Amino acid sequence: MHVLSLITFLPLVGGILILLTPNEQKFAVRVLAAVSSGAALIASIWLWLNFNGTTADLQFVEKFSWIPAFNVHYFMGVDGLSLPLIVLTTLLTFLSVIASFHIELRIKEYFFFFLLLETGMLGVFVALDLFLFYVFWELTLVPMYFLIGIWGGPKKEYAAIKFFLFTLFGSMFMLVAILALYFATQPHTFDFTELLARNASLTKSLQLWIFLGLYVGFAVKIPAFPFHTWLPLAHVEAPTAVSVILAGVLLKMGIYGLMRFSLGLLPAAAQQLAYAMAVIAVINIVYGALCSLAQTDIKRMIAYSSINHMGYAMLGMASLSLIGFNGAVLQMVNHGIITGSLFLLVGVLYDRAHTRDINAFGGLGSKLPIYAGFMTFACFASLGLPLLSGFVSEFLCFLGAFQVPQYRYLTGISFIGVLITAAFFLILIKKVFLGPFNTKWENLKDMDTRELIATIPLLVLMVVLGIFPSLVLQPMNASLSHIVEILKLP
Amino acid sequence: MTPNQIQSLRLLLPMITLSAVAFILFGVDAAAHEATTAVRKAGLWITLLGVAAGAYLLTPQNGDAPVVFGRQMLVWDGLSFFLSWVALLTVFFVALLSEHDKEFDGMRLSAYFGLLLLSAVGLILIASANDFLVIFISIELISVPSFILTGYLRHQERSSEGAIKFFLIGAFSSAMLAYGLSIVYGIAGTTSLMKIHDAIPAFQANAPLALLAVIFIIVSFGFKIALVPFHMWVPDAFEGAPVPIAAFLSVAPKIAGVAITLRVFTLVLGASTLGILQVLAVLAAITMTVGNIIGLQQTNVVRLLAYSSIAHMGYIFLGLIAGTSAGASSVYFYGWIYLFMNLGAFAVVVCISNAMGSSELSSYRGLGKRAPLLSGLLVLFLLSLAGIPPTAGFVAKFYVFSAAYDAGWVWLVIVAAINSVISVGYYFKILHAMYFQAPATDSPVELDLSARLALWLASGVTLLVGIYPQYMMARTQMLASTPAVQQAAPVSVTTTPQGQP
Repeated sequence: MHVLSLITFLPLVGGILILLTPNEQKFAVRVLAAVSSGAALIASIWLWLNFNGTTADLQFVEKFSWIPAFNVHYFMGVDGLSLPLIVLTTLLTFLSVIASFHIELRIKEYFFFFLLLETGMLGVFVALDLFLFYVFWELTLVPMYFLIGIWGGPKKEYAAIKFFLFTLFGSMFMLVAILALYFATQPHTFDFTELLARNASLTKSLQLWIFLGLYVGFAVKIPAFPFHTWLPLAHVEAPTAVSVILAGVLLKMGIYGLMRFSLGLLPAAAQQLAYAMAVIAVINIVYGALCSLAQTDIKRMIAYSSINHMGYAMLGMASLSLIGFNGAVLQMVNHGIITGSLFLLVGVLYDRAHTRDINAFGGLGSKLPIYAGFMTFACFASLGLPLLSGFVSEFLCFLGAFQVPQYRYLTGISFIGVLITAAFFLILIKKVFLGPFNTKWENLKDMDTRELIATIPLLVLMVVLGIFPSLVLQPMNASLSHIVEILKLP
Repeated sequence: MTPNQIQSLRLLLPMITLSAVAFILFGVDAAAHEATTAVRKAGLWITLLGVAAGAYLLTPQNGDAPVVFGRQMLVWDGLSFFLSWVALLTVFFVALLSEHDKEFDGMRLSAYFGLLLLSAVGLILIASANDFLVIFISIELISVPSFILTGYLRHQERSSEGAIKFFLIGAFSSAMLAYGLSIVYGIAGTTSLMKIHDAIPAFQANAPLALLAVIFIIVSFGFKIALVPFHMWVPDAFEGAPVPIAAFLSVAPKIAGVAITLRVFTLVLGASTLGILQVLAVLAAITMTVGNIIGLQQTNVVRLLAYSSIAHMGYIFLGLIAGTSAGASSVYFYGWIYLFMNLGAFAVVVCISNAMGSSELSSYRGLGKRAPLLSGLLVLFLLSLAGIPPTAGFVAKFYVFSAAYDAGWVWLVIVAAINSVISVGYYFKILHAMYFQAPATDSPVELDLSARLALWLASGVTLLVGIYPQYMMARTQMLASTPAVQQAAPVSVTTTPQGQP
């Protein structure tokens, strides 16, 4: 049973079928897109239910020789680190596909690229051979380029190429680092498990170089300061559903890559550079929050808040402790859900008002009660209100970091970020939903069925994961403690 | 006839056949007065038959020991076999693309095809060269038809201009080559590559003079294969030439360059500790960087691909200077993939230039709407040229990078990696025009049969080898297992020397 290949390539099959559909059959195209991404979602839920959370072993492993000349394998598997991200990917893609049903422009290409993107993202999370991983990593670039460039906002073309060049620049360093890893092990291999078994054979200086190479590739995606400049532009210009995927899934690939490959394969370098990463994380937190505070465009504000939120995850990861890791992965899942819904909700407003200027609104709460409720709810989740999911993961990240003696001050500084986050979300709520009603928006309608279907599951998840975070924490605990043990060994 | 002569003849048969077919084509051209469709069709078919016959007559090479033949002037090994195939396939593609090219309306084209075949003979010869004299002659045999082909649109100024520039530079660099070779002959007392390899101590003893010779040779080859700073003729020649010939020029000199570099520099002179590999590495780094950066400024797609071809020569050098068998194998692999992806891109350019009468970037506006399939294929070729997975171009680039990394050229790998990012900047200009801009007209682009064939073949290889590279990789590794001239030396003992100069 090749369930991982099935999950990964189902969307691609759907995408190819969509390309073969006649141009006029717009309904068929939408159904095909929903069915194939929905099937991937169902398969990934099956994966979740059948996953054994008590072991750190790789599960559902598929391994075939692919390019024997290079000792490259088609090697897939999941563990507690990748499982939550796989389900997050399939869920967000399915909801984004539904949220994109109103798209009329070049609809076949749109859904083809969307599903191709899903295949690439899923592949990144299941691939355990570095060559295969790199192929999937790059595979996400091209569809994203077209999705931003064709269906995006006014400066879409510049945003698309900037996104592409930044990521490619990072991945080229990653490629050289992968080559270095390959040639540093005897016999040469790209196989994650074999590299892990031989990680002691690498000298520390080599580890540091390889770590830096991989880091540049991953940091662009996170995006860690100073490689973050592509993100606000790409987010603002991208169409709503693409922003959801960009924030919800693509950013996670960076921290996932660091946790999966950099930490385990290069433990000595990871320990050496952990403090530097923690500093960058704090810069992300504070700087991202301050930038967010300065924005008047709602979408741009949320984009910068992503930089801030990924900073929390990075801080948790840099603590190299089990609690921190738990917090980091949970934060990635929560950020995907919360920011995904925020982007969807901003899209709802933009579709109606054609502006995202925070000062253009006022008093919408009385006119659009459902929308105002949802948006306020998501904002509170994002700023870390207890009982909603964001709180748990941020708390765990801080707890993990605070346990490390050298990080005490850093953690203290990053609390400023939490305050600012609360500030700008509250300002957002006040300016848009409270105060006197701006009569210009007399004719705005509240959310329709399509938008409700796309957002309600995410809002429900915010509550569920806020009360029962163990739903996500349970399956990943064993795998994450395995990584912690690897880091303790040398 | 002695068995040796028979063997030599057998190995020479493809070249003899191709030359004979070329002269038949000249005859057809002379006999036909009118440029009727029948004449053109006949020309194409004779050419394709000639290429097929040449391919059929090539003696297969499966990593066997090299055979020295033709009075020790030539050698038949994995390198010669492989590059001969590349040469024949190039001519095959170019012939297909020329068939319906509107630039040639009112021309008979038989002589044109004949010149192409002669150039192919030159390419096969240079791939099998075992002597500097053969290298010199075959370079001329490649170049002279190329000059004429570049200027084939004789009523167009740009064509003549390109041809004249190309010719002057070609003549100049040939003179440099002759000068360098005469110094080599002075030092080693021979022009045979095998014997020069044995005479390396003499080179080291005469270091300043030898260095002068090497500089002359590198500069001369640099002009031929368009290494920066000897590349100035390329964009003008490409833009002036008929588009299929630009496609030909983007591959053919590269084949010659690969052959020369593998045989002469890395295997013969590379061991001479004159620092040649370092010089070539620096040239490669400059070549790809300059090629890519100037490429960013181009608005004409043919010129853009011209700079792209310059940059790709730089990538190929990564494998060449590795000097290992993995390096040679990666160069074969890269060459093979480059052939298909580059000629595929040119095939699209020919179709667009037929439909729009121009290769300016503006002609590509909105192509994604007008011709979805054609532009989809161009996306595939451009992604492959940029080295983005899952295309074959990525595997090829990965292969040369890994060979260079393994041989210790880490800095060069990093330069090449950054260059790959820069190159995306101009490849994606075409994507940008095709998908992000509105079309000027809505008329669909028509594809004729020969263009379809070329496109399917090129895209099939580009995609399939990208997904399943193993077969091609194993093949190139086998062919690269015995390319070395020094390994050929023992075999030459079995072939009795005849009438040595």
